Amino acid sequence: MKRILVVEDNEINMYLCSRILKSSGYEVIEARSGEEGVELAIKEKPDLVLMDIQLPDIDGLEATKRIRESEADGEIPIIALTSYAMAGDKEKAISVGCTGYIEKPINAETFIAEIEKYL
Amino acid sequence: MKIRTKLYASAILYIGLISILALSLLFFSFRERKELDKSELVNEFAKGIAELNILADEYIAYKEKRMEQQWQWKYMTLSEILEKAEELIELHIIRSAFESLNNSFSFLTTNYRERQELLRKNVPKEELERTILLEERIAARMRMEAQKLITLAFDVAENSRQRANAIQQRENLILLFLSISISVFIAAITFRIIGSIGKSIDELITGAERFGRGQLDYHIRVTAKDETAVLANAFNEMAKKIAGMIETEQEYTLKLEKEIVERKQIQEELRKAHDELEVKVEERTKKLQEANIKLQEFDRLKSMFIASMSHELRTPLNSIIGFTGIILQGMSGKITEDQRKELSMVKNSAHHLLVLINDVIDVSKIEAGKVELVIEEFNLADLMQEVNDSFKVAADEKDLKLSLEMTERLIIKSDERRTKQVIMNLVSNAVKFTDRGEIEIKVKKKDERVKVSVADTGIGIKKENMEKLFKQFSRIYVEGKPVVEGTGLGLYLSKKVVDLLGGQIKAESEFGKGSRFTFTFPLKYTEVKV
Repeated sequence: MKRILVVEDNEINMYLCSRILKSSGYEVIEARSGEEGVELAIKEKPDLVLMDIQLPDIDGLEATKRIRESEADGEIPIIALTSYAMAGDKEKAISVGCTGYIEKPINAETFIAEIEKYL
Repeated sequence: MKIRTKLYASAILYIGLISILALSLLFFSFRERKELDKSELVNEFAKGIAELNILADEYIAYKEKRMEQQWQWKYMTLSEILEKAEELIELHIIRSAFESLNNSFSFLTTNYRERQELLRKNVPKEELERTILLEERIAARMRMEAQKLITLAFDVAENSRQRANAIQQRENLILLFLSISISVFIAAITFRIIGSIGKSIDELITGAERFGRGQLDYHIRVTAKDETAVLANAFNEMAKKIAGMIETEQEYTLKLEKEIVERKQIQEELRKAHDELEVKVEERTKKLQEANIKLQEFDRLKSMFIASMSHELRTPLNSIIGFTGIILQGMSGKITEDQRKELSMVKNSAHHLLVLINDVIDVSKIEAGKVELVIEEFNLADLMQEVNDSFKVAADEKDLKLSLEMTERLIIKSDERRTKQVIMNLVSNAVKFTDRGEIEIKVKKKDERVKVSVADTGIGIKKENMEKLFKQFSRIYVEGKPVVEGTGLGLYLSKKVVDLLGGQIKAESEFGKGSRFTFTFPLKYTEVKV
């Protein structure tokens, strides 16, 4: 069973993501802040990280950077969850080391298909 | 009378008077000369008589013919002198005495000749003695007569001399008197003239001095009616004119002073107004600065609001869309057809709301100039394919043929998301407003620009609506058709974005037949100022 780390502060969004992922047979590790995300990513070594950009403590970009800095072997695919309104989020995400991005809102129909591209 | 005339007249008068004096002198001396001439003539005559007497005595003594002739000759001379004297004076007594003397001498000579005759005839002695006696008597008478004549002549001469003297004395007196009179007269006239001229000149000098001291109201009064009067009038006139000029000048100066005062007042007022204005400007500037600060604060708040909106509004919408999707996917258990249909409506509405929010946020960002372009290289072919794919389902649903024609792979350097936004909008509109037929998307490169055209066979746009196509909140309502979903911001936003990217957007349409939108933009973005 593949494990996916979801870094998301919003409870509803977290529920949404894990609901879709779980129903598709993934194990979900939940992190509710950037710091926690970095910690869990290093500790749990998930197969994929879904990283929200807007987070309360350190943002997704900073968290991604830290994860990338800590890695010794191989790269965990980190998918940024970007918001439409924030211009340049995608570009920034790629530049700090994200593997790809998914624009919100999450579409239940295509979400899994998009994630599977990176696994 | 003019001074010149006066002087000429007085000179003539002087000459006349002196002439009179000279003439009277001449006249008197002539008269005196005449008297003296008379006296001299008579004197000479008297001396001649004395000589005649001597000649007569000599003749009596010697009885020579020569002496008789001498006597005759002297007598003739004296007669001539007497005639001359007679021209001057009445001398009939002397004349008769003189002739009587001559008669006596003739008688004497005749008597002598008779005696000579008697001698030759040898007349008696007594006869001879009688003649001798007669001769003696005649001689005595002659001597008497001569003596008388001389006395007479001397008397006349003395008389004349005395008269001459008298004349001379009178003449001297008259001349003296005349001289004095004339001198006095000349002096009087001269003094008068000098006095009148002097008075006038004094008056003129006084006037000139007063005028010189600036006493221009002084009037030179010259009583004389000569050049000085003319001069005085000229002076008065001049002074009057100068006074007039000074008055005019003073008036002018007064006017000028008044004007200067007025100008100064105006200047003062202007300065005050200027000061007030400056104060006002300062106040305004202060207010403006305050307003500006407020505006900046407001702007910051607005930006914050927009950022907050974009996050806060989207988060619940994202949840709605996400969960609707979960339910629609059957993850929460089976749903009925009706539930699927109704949930799809919820999902679509939520999507619409999301687009609306995004559009509104974009518009406010663009209008505030807060759009940050992300310029980087991207593959246009991939972008076009994504667009094409995302509308495939919608086109299929309406049974529309959606085609993409792109001859070459183009690497663009621009803002990918914004470029996609514009093209998406154009295709979205085409799908939205086309019920049957096809939608053709064509991409062409021309020079350094890319041309993306989206042509449809939709409802088209009426000519009158063409110009408001790219304006805010312009919605196209088609009669007999339901209002198509939209924000009314799509093309407006596209136009703004196209401007930002340095491109152009153009619409061609035929109502009822379809439309073609063309979006042209540079291959390589260069910063543009909008």
